[in-house]
Amino acid sequence: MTIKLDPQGNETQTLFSLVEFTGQRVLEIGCGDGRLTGHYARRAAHVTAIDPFSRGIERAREKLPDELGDHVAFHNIAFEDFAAASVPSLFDIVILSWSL
Amino acid sequence: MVHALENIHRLLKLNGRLIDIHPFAEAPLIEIHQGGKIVFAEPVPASAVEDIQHAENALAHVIQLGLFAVERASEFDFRIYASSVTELRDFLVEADAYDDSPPDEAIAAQEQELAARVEGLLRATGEGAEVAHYEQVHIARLARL
Repeated sequence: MTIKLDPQGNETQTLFSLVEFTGQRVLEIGCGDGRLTGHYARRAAHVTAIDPFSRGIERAREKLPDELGDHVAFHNIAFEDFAAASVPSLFDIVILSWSL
Repeated sequence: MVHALENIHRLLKLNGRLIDIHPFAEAPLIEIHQGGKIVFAEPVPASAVEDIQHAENALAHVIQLGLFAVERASEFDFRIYASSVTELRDFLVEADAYDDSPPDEAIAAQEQELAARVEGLLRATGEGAEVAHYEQVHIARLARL
């Protein structure tokens, strides 16, 4: 048996009941291996997903379907460094993914 | 944490939304499931509860400052299933690999004891039994003001 995460899909169902991703520019903080990213990325205009844990980011990049490659960018970076290097008013949605 | 939320405020467009997903400030449960039923559940000795409370306080602070306002909130059950306690623990250790806080030896010893007990119960429960890590999770949509 492999690990099964939220096989009932409670997290994504609840997320989609609260958030309309269509056409939105999204920043996900603490994306890990992209578990959540993969669920909403197709709906978004562009996703920037960051995590300071390099192994998670490597896995996220490996798992990312080819068709999403042009509008999902995974970065191995801490949020404070990302914020310091970013201009204001970039994103429509910021997701704190189990990471505050 | 407040500084991180101020940075999020700066990165969001006017009328942007912050989605905060975090577990409740309660110890997670370790459960044994069989045939669609929960046959065992016990709190996991956990050290993250204090961190979650700090995060909630930081959110409350930036709301009070007028940076964000809660529009909607909800909650959901989040379970991770595995066929053995070892498999589950290995996964959770890796998922927490970014946590650089020093290990608490007393909590580690309690976790070890609980893990051994649950592994024994899991074997005794027999065919089709699964172990699960359960957390109740809070999700909120906040408007950037």
